[in-house]
Amino acid sequence: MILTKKVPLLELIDLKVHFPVSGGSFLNRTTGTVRAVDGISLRIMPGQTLGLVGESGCGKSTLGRAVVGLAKPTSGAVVIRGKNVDNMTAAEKASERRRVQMIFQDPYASLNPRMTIGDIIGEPVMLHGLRSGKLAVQARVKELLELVELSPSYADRYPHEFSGGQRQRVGIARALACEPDLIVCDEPVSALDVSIQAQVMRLLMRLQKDLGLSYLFIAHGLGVVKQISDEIAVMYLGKLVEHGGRQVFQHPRHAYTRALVSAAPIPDPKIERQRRRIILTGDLPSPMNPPSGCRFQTRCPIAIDRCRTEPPPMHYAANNHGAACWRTDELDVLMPMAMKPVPMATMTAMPLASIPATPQQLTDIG
Amino acid sequence: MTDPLLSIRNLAVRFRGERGDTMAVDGVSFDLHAGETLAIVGESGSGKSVTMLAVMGLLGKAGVSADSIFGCGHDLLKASDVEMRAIRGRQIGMIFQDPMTSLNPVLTIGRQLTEMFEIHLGLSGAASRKGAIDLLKLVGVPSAETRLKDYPHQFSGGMRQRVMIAMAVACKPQILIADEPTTALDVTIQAQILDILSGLQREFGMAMIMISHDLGVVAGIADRMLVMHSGRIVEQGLVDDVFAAPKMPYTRSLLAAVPRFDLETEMTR
Repeated sequence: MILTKKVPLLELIDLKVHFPVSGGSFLNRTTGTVRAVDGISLRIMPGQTLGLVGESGCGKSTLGRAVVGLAKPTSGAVVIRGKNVDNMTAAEKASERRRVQMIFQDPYASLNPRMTIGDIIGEPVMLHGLRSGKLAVQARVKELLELVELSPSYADRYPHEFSGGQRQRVGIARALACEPDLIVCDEPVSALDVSIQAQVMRLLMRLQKDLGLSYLFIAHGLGVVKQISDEIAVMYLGKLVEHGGRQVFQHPRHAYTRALVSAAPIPDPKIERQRRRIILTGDLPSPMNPPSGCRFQTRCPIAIDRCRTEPPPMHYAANNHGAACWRTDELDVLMPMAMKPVPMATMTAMPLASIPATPQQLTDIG
Repeated sequence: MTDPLLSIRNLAVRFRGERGDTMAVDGVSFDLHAGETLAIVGESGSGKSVTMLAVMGLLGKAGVSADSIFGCGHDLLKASDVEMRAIRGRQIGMIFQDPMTSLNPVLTIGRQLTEMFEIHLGLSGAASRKGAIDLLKLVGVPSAETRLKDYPHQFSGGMRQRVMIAMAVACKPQILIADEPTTALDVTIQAQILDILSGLQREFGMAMIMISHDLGVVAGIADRMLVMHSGRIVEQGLVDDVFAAPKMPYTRSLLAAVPRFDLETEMTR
């Protein structure tokens, strides 16, 4: 179908997904809340790819699951093609949900081992009534297998007969069987070897071009996200910290993104030796009890008092590059992205609060 | 050049299977010199982990053959199980990918660390405890004294890997073998762990073998690298040379398959 460019395919408005945590006593009372996704607004236009990056536990997968309806939003809205999912009738939901599909990380766990490839791919075709009659469904299954560059003769085989990369292609074919507009790809290549990763990425990009698909591409690898995305969003502890075009990795405007980019290894020994690496101290805080103010303040090397008390709002610059950081404008001085080596004292041993905000505080490994 | 710390000639590992044998490692030879970091790179099933497990004697004798394996002055091919047990941990330390399955879940971290000192160095309880605390501090575990009483499940992934590293370097081994030590970790935690590893290496003068599929990690930490494919070494050399001018088509395709976030180039479709 043809969509006007102005209606986003998917819009998330202040989306929150909280999970109650119970336990402790025998009464099994709710003892806390995991704020997996805590107020996120994003949109994806038709034919576009939004890359979502973040470390484990930041809530990126929960966000993806909320988009396809596998996790129930606590508040906020998921809007598909201008319609709020909450306000849809059951029939509308069934047809709109069909247009939003998902590919999972683990190609071993996401295919039923007791179904043939043909049944796995044919089931959604039948359930949604996209083809009628056994022969038409079989023909569609063969078409879909060819679309993902697998032999149509594989339809009678079982998942265990295939390699990880082939299984991931089956997962993609199953998603395509529903004739979706948007596919949520949750770490689709991180379980695969690099050469297989490259093949699956090429397939995803080709399918997007041929079928006009949109992707919500969730991954922790900056390289694959950069490769496929038109827009990039960075999450930290349930919040969006940065959002923009591909310049997000070139010129990050949030302290966390700078640290993330500087920590990601580059396969070039000469560059690696000269890079300024910002090594964060500590682990990700618990999403049950997130820090006050900016969620990154406990690990941020340049946090000031304001960061500890006031949560920074998302502020978009003229080029639609947004960041939620109080010190965005000072980052080029405090956490420069330059590749030149600068000898610096290590900050690992010092408590964060005692460090003056100068470039000297940043760890540098040569 | 002085004698290598570890010298392997023509190592082969054969796994027996129902449908015939599989050569997991086939004719692998290399040397490791004091103080250097050697990376073994390859995709899953290339034989990189099996190579090192065979050298450490962790696969048993069946199926493992070699012309010679010398490590830290011992003939590892002829060493008995008892001798190997004394060498492992004392002279050659190992870190595995998944710290949760490598640590004993029913023993405290303190017990697992002090055991290293008691078994290998014959230290007393109090001395081992002090050593364990020092070690945890060395690898950056906060409040080391109190954390000795904790069990592995009470540690995060990054902290568990620090404990693993602490155990591996407890006896100041001459060689540290790290098998995908950061693969299960997030990038910011990976950076911390790699930083600790290179710091320890400098401090103790250890040689390190880093097994990894991540070419970015290898580029940052290694001096030399071996590229393995189907049980064989297909290319080896200084990291700078291999990355700048890979000789073999396989290495070239492996390097080309890694998408770069730092460059503006697009992958060819």
